[in-house]
Amino acid sequence: MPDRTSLKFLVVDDFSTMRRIVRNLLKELGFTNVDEAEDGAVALGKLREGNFEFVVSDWNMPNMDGLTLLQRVRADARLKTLPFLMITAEAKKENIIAAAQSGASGYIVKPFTAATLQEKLDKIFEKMGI
Amino acid sequence: MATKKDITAKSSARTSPPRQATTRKPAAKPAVRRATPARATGAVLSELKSLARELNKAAKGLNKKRSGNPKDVSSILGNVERMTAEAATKSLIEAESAKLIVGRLTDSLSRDWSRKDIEASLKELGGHLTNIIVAQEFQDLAGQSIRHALKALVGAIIVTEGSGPTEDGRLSQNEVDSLLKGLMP
Repeated sequence: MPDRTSLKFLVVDDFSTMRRIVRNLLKELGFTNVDEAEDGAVALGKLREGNFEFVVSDWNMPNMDGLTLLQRVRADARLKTLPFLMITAEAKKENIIAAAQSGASGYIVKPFTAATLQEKLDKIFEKMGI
Repeated sequence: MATKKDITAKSSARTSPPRQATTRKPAAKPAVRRATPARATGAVLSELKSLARELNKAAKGLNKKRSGNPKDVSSILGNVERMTAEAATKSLIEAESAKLIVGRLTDSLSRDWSRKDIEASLKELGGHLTNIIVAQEFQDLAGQSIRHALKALVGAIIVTEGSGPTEDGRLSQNEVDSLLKGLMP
């Protein structure tokens, strides 16, 4: 069984504060291999170049939003199985449905707590079998 | 806001019959007469009429925007104010709790202390610090709201992202989880 804590994360958010918060929370949960991207376009480039194993992404971002990033990831043969967790302030029913239909692995509504992040990550890992 | 009101007021004055306008402001007449002959006066009047039409058109546009925007902006900024207040309160409560633990730990050093207790206190302390970190997420939400407010004020000129967080139709995490149960395998 692979070690969870060695997973390589990509945190995507246009607000550096938020990236820092998520990075800190991940670190506290034992995940230290974390990189950041400020929008979907940068993230997609990094995902195609690096060996990322988990994406945590915001929805609202300039250049390329999180939903488009998710759709691009799912459409990419090499990336399509990547676990993709949305952390966003978009909390309307249509947003959640769109994310689920596009293949999101989890959905966290801002503002959130450390416990919520841990719970959603655990749920995804469980599905992944790790 | 004041500018919009001014323009609207000016515009409605200009849409009233020109004869009334001249009777109200007799001082303006001699100035026009003094400056130009009859033909030029006609040109000036025509230009003024055209200007009045433009202003009227602009004012109508502003009226349309005014119907929702100030209320939207007020609601958004109200949310920002609430978010910042909540984050500040949360951070202060957590920092105060952390300080209490530090005080307790310091006191314990001069008395009997156990490694187990200290470890437990440090863990508790770490929890408070984490909560302070998480409380800073208000900056993201407030930032999005402010962008939304700017967008509402300026119109659709600022091309950023979606509408940002509003309170209408937002689901809680529990509601999102329930909804996803039926949508995700």
